[in-house]
Amino acid sequence: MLRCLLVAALAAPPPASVGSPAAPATTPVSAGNADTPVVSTTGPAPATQPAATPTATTTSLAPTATSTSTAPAAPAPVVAPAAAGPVAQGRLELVSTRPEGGPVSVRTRSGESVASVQLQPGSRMQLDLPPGEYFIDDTTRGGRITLSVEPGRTARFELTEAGARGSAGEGPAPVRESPAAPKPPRWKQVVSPTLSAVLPGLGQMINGQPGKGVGILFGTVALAVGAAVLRGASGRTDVSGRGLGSDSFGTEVISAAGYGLLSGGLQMLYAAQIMEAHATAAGMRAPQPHTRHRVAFEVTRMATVGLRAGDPAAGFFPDWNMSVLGQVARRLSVGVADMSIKQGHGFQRTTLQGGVRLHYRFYDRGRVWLGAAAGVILQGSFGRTDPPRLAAGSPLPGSDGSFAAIPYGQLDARFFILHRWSLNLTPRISAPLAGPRFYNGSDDRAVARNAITLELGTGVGVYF
Amino acid sequence: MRASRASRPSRPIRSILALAGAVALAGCVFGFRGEAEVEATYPLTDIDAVQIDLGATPLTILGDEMAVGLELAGAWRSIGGSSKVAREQALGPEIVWDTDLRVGRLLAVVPLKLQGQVDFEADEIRLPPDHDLVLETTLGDVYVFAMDGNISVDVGVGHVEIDGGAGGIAVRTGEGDLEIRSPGNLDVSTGRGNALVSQSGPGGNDLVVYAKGGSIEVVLRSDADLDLRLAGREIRVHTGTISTVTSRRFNREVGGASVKVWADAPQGDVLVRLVDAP
Repeated sequence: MLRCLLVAALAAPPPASVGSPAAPATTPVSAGNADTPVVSTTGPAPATQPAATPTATTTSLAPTATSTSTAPAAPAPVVAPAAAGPVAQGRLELVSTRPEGGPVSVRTRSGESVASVQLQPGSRMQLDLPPGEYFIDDTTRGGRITLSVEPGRTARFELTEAGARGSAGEGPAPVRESPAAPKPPRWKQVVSPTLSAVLPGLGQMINGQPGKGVGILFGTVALAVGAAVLRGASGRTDVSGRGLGSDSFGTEVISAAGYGLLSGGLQMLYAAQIMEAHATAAGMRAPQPHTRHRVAFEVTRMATVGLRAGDPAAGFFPDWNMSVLGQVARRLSVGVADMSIKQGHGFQRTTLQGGVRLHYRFYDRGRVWLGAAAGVILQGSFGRTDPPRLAAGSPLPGSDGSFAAIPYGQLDARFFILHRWSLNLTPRISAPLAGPRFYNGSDDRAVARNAITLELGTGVGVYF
Repeated sequence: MRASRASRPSRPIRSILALAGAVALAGCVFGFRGEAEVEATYPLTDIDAVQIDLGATPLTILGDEMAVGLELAGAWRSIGGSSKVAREQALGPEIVWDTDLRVGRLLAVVPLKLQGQVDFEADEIRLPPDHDLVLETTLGDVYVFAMDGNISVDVGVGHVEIDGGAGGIAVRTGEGDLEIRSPGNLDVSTGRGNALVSQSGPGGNDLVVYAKGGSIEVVLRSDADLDLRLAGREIRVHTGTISTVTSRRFNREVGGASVKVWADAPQGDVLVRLVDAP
């Protein structure tokens, strides 16, 4: 059956409407038999747009088509009544939200042209069609959408700025796929970070970034060597002499601070390169941090350079701890924090530590979060300090104890490399009350009661 | 002149500067130091041996015939969040004199709540020279002079210098140099450091020296009846009866071989010479 159809571009006003954009204009195009598609449009009717004049196309689908163009003042589309026929009709709606509009052609699966229209920005057009699958081509950009038109339903084709989209009866496969990068193999997402954990930089090499991997490896070695040198720079026989007092304080502070910075940097680099190896293997370019997470786990090394009573006169005081915070309201978290167990004084003293923290995140754009928190650390220590007496049969000395409450306030900056993992930098101010605060280390590292302490925390966080 | 608004840093830059300032300031403790002097004399009646363990402090022990007992001078040093707290903490720990049978022990006892915040530093300890000594310190140099009894020293990190110890000397230090002059038998070792041991008096006393990470020099009063067992990278022996330069290992017996001169320096050199030799 030979059918022909001439369809005009619908957003453009017909010549009769020139100079009167507000006036609706309707132009019947052609009429056909019972299989006739019925066309109607609505949209802005530019007053003078020679290029927008209707585009005529001859189709093999003969029947009747009606083209209608309306001005913006008439929001509802005008739908020409479908011709009565033995088969119930479906409807195909063509819409353009693309600023420049564009030509669209509709074809049957067999390739017969049904309609060819020039969609104007904001215009809308409806075709009543026999049920079946149709190819709708975005002629300007070469995209093709396959839509299934079903009886009594409306399939929708839309020209957007990003391309062509279809819905309600969309066909199984668009002809042309968007050019996307090949998905990286899944095994790398596990192997790369694992290898980076074993040897820093190795995961990056596996990911095809040998330069970055070598750089990370050398950076890690340099930080580790530097930290080791500074750790051994002061102390030992340098401070074993009598009468040093605090004369060596300056150099010991510099050594301890340098060690703290280098070891903290090493810790952050190590964690970052593991995360980065996974991110690269997963093809993740910009992580989307979970601002609506329920629970956050953090492992942190708080550190400071503290006074010592003897020699060396200053030392590096680390405090490794873990925190679990629940987000109870948007940006507001509360939970237990600073939990740890420490052994000191030659493993004769045990310290249990924990606390509560209230945290508010005041900035969370992109991959950076900034926040502030307040809390208190509770620390209890116990052990035996008195040595056994020489006399035979003397009773064993009793145990001794100490308690401290350490209120604090802190800021924190979090940098996300993965969606759920962050590197954390946390400056904190605190002061132990009621007793001393003990730190990690086999030798005695304690901040005395009432001593104002500035610490810098480095660590990682994970969010669920 | 009106300040230009454009000269002020933008809000993000101000935030970054504030954060950088916080980071730069982070990592220090504000505190005060305190001190409390200690002077005491402990009776040594019926005491033959004295143990001294005053924590991590250098020790200087002098044998003094005029001493009426164990005379101690030193000071407790402390830290605190305020000057008042620092003073209080310096007065918190105590020195304990504990005796049983013929042994006396001098101990520094620090309550748990003061651990890490006080440290005793002994200036000088005097006692009659005929007592045996047992010294312990985790960090600190040890000097012992004019003591005639047996001397035992155990040091974590610190140099050890002893002149005396006719009753015999046993020394171990984890890191530090040894300089020992004694008429008694010696058994000394250092983990990292050099050892210089000399026979004093008539000589003929045994010398057993081990320096894991350093060199050894042995100075003999006499080379008669030696039992030489030497090990090291380079070994030099210059005595009247033996003169050699070798490496790794050297064993030699002279006369009755009744005087042990055993020196082992796995990573260092060994030199054995007579006292008058260069």
